[in-house]
Amino acid sequence: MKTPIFVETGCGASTIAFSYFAMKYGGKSYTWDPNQLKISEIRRAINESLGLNLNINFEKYWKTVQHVSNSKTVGIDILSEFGEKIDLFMHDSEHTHSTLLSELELTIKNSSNNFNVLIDDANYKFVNYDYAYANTMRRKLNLKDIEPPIESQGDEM
Amino acid sequence: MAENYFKEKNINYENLRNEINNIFNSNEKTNHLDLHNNLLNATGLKEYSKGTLSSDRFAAFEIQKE
Repeated sequence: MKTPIFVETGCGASTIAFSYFAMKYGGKSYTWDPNQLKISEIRRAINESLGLNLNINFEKYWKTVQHVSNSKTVGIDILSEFGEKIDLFMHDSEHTHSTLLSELELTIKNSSNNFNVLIDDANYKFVNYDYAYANTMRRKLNLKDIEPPIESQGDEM
Repeated sequence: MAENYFKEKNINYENLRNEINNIFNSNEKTNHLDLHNNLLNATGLKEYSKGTLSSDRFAAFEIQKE
């Protein structure tokens, strides 16, 4: 039986679950995220919550790529260089149509014949720019929310 | 949007919406996002603020390439 390959774009709490199940089924979970601090925080959580209790080194099962998922040189496409085929993909990076589409193209190119796709924040409608995330950053600066222009939105993801 | 993409590319897919709904409906416990909605309200705009863990935040598909 093929050992499962998971791919997740955007590091977060779900990364802990992906890592756990990669370990459980002897596979690997790849995470793309340009934010090194977030990866570091999650690594600490995985090691302290799972690694120490189970006496398992999760570096064997969780592979991080500190770059954007659709990078020409270190994006999802590098899986072909590793000879890996994706069995489960989860989009949780920049929630825009353009980023999701680029990730789907790379995922389909690098996937097993049968695989699953999960999309987080699937209710978002942003085409090219994630106003929700931008407004989160603005709120931290006590700035008012920016209303996304109608032309910046399309269908739900 | 993802469904349209699969259709345009002639990719066989199954929308797992019912499975997602079943998972959500089978869990009657109040989750931590319900309890700490204000604290965790990190999604920005009001119309996008799904502080509660609602099923429409998620989409899932099973893909068959051949």
